[in-house]
Amino acid sequence: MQVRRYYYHNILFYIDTLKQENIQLKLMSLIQKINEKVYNKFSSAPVCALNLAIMSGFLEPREKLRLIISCEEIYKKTGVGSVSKLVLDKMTLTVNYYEDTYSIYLNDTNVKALINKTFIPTKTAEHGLSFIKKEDELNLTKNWPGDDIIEVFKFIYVLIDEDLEEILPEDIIENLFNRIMPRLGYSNISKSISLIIFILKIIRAVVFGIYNFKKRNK
Amino acid sequence: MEYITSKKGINDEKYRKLHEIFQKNPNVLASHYLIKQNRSVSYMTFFLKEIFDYFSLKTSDGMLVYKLRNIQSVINKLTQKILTENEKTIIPPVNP
Repeated sequence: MQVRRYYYHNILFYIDTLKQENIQLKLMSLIQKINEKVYNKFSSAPVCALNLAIMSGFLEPREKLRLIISCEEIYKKTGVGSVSKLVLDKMTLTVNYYEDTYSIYLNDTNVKALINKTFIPTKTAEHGLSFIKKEDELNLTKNWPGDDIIEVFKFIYVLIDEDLEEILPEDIIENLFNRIMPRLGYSNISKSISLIIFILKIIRAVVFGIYNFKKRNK
Repeated sequence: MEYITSKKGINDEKYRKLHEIFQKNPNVLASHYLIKQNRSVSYMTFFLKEIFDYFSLKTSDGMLVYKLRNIQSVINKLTQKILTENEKTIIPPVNP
């Protein structure tokens, strides 16, 4: 059985390619049923079915908008950490809610989807930010970098909503390290200092553990 | 990082600006190209590329997914606007 794994940046989407056409038909009928039910009774399953349908391109834009409005309300009511099931046409759609993701299992098919509610960068991307060091800053300020590098910095400024027109060209790099990078979650603390902080945290945890243990034994 | 990817983090104006930068210079997100100029900066582009791809994600009919994510806040704003406009236009009844 051939299983294709589709990667989107916030979605892991598995489909059994051999049954894909069959699944499409099933999803279509499922979404129609969900659409009817949404207005009568609130249920959390349509939220996931909707996302599944959007990503697979089964819904018309008008339907998408109509459903997403209803689904936002549904989501607010159901909250996180819940499991719900919706039985339609002998198919069961199981939805598991967690804090950051929700997963969908459509029984009788191999449709499985894990959807992150927020963007989660890959480890490579996260570590990529920490490669910039103080030496690089000095190097970049001494030797004015080429246009391509400046464009990269401009890209970051736009992401952070900083007004580029207010910043002088020579301040671009300096501002980047002092103001912009901390907002991206990158700290300029050296490795030795972060190691000391880590050790202190361990010591605090141990002391706290011993204190609690003694307290319980008393 | 949370700020960038939150619902408030992207809007049409910002997407247009990012797209403009990318159109003007596609090498801005090409780590293999930038590595010749500056290794550290080229590593940063991994993150930028992921963010840009996340914002540029489209449904099969070409609609940007971020617009779908933002739709609820847009509706709330519009509703609020309509309500305030209605309040202004309603003339209070005059007591006889």
